[in-house]
Amino acid sequence: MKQLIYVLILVVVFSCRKDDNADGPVEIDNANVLILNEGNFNFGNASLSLYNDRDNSVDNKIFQSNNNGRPIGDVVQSATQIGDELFVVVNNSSKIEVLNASTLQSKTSIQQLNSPRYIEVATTQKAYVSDLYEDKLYIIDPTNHSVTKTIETKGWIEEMAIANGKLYLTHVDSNQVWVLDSTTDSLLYKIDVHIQPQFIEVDADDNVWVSCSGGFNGGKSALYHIQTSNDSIVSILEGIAVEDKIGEIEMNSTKDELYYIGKNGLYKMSINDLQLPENSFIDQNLRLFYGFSIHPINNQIYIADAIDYQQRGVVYRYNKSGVQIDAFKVGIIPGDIIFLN
Amino acid sequence: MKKLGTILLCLMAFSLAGQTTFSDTVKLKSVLIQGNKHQHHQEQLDSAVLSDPQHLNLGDLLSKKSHLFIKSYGIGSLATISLRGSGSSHTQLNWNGISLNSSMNGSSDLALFPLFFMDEVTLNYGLNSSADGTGGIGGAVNISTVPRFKKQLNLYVSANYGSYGQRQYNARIKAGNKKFQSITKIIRNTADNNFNYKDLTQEGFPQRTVKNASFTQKGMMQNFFFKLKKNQLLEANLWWFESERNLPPLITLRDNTELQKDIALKSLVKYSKYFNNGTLKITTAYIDDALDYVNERANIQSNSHSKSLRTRADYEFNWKKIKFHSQVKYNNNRAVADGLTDNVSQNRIEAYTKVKRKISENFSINVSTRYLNVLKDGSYFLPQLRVEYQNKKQNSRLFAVVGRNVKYPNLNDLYFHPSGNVNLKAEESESVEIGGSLGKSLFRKKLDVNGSAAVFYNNIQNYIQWEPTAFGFWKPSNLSSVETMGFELFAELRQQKGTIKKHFSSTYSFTSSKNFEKQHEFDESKGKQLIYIPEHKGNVSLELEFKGIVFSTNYQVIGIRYISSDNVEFLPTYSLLDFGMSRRFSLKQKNSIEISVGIKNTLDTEYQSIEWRPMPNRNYFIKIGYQFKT
Repeated sequence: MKQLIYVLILVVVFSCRKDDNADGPVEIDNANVLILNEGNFNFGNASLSLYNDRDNSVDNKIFQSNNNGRPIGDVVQSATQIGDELFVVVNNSSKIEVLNASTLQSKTSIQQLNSPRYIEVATTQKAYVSDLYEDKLYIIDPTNHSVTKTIETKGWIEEMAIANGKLYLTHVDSNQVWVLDSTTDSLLYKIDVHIQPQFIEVDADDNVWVSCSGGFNGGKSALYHIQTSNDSIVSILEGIAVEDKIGEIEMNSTKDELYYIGKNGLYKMSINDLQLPENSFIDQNLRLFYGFSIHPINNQIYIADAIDYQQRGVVYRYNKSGVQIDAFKVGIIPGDIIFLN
Repeated sequence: MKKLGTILLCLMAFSLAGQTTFSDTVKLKSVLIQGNKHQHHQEQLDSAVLSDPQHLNLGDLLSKKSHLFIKSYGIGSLATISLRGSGSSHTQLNWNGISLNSSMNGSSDLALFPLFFMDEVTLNYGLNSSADGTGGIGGAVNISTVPRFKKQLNLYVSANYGSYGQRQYNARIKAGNKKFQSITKIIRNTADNNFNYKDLTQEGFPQRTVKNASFTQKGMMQNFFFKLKKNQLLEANLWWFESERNLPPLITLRDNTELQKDIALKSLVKYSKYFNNGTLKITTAYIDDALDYVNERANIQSNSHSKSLRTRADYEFNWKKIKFHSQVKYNNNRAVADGLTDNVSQNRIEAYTKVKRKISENFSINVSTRYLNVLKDGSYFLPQLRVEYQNKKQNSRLFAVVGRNVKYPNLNDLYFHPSGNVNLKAEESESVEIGGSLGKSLFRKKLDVNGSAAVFYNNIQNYIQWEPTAFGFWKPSNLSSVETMGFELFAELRQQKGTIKKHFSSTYSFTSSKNFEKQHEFDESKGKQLIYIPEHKGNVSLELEFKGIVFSTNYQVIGIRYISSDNVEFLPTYSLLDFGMSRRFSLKQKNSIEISVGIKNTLDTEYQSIEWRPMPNRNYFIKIGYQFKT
């Protein structure tokens, strides 16, 4: 009997391990690459990782470290720097955390939101916030961190872009791109596209590119090139097979090359191309490319790999020719990479 | 199909052989064990344990009295089983031999199975579950209602009041004679669940109150038992249970309103015929499960409805030193749900034959085969070999078993919209298990000492896992091979000295459940424990009965549970200490009143079973029960 009690005591003693999240605030120094780790939906395990590309050092859970151990919330979806503040959209926690971009310490949060997704900045005093559930677009004032207005959208909005004085938003539920006057916020046009438009980018000609996933019922993915001067469709690029999916899209620093995540990895094309590339620029192999970003100055490519979605992911850094420079472990489900000014 | 035909022919042959041994002799077994009976591969919990108000529900009970790990989201919330390191769909929950696991997601939510509906709970670990069917890679939990044929009118009502607005009302009427018994049970269970917790997500860790966690459950069970002849029993059972629960948000979220309503209607008819040296049992059940989910914030309202016809026939007989057991099963599962591509269905046929032969006074060998055929989708052949040593004089048993099991994908795995994967392979396991038990009576039978131990190894191929994709939806796939291994220990002391009875019992289990495939060089999950499966789990309980007063205490320790597959993130070990005391007062004319009081989580432990979901701190209950017997 005593032995059994000893076994139980041993279990208790050896099961207690030190939690390693209790370090103090981390100095930001010259690190300027911030990885947004979404975390699992409804697990509350989202986090931020800070990477210094000069010495290849990484500080994981930097939000917790610099905010007295407080976790950031559930599903970090996106982040946008406005001036010296970083607006981090925490989707399933229904908030935008406003951080000091130099210290990553929280200044306040914008709470009157439902399921925020992305921010698009119009002016220093006006930014749009899209939402998954609310059927509305929020307009916030970044200077006083408040919601100033909402616009009825009757559906789920994902990424947005401002080009040619207009706001282009991906209206997922209606399979349309909506065009709004970014001064008056009035709806100008609705452009029909393929199923489930989600990502949008502006190119060097101030035209927009929209990727449509094709939805869940075996629809084809497609890439739309829309001319913003007259809001007409310049071209529709789609793959040969249903499996030729198109996910997130990004532009290089000069905005004349478009990159996207596809079936076999990361693909690259010129904005003048009239068909999708046959081969991937960076092969995925057994990895799981979940998100990526391109450095706005040196064009280095950062690709986030969620691995199995249950462990710390990894970010691969490539030079603009597609040669890997570095790889580093970050948080659970890295989804986006932000370059701080 | 040839194999199936051969097995069916064998079954028919055995059935005909059985007819020749027909006899009028009644062999209706009515087992009632006071407490829990723990053997090396099976554990029985009887009505005495089930009625202890310390156990809130089946999950709570199993967590304390067995080697099972219950992944619980809180009082009344989702509670799923993990047995021997396997997933929630790898443990079968059987009602009188019929699986109640959801045909859609494959698992059972223990919060929807009130203890008051059960007279007996039996746990079969690992391969020992295979006599009831496939799918129990971790094992099976069998719940049943046990009739006692005698002239009686037995009325029982109870009220249980606990902290956080917990109210539980139970009523039972048992009536009948030597040929007929009726058992009616009615329950109503509500809780506000508004306990306080320390909010670790906010600076200064302020105290907050859990919101949107209340629930209401109500249900009725009706059992009829007819002794048709001296050796024939017909039973008809009806189970209705309705649960409406608010789903509290993670503490990292702001207020959210999610509501889940479950309506279960289960009916089961069983015919048993007892021969001189054999039994025939035919069971048919119709199971209707409906689930409505509402998420106000997301403006989601989804409904799912599954209907299953599940039937089995068992024939067992003894011939000289050989015991035969033959079984055929047929399951038809259908479902309609917002999440499914269409009205989907699945038909499964199983055939099982077991031969057990005594090869000496103490040794027996046991060979069985099970054949599973999922119509149009494939078939599986599952052999099993068991060797047993039993020394009745020394009350000792040893066994070794090796065999295969299979868990076929559920309807959601195959057909969930948009990402169900019809190409999924079945999860197949190969297992080895060795164990034994020993019992001794000491000091002129005043002290009983019992102990058991088991070591197991299990290799699961084609482990099904749901993962999100980069294109916005989740998808199941056959990922990798998973190995589970471990050992389980049980020790028990019972002593009676005059009017004082003491009962001490303790369980400990070590479970290693690891993935052995690596996707690439940065994948650090290889060789690591699967998430939310504790390596260590232990429990100590002590009961003391003195002059009609029963004192009981239970101490449970759950080791760390990793929450990332690279085992970097984990939830810390926690322990819970409960106390209870009850006293029965006999009144005139066989009436009695029982009063119980108790403290749960006495040490006021702050813990999370699931990350960012707080669990109740110290809480109290009082239960008053009244019984009338003729």
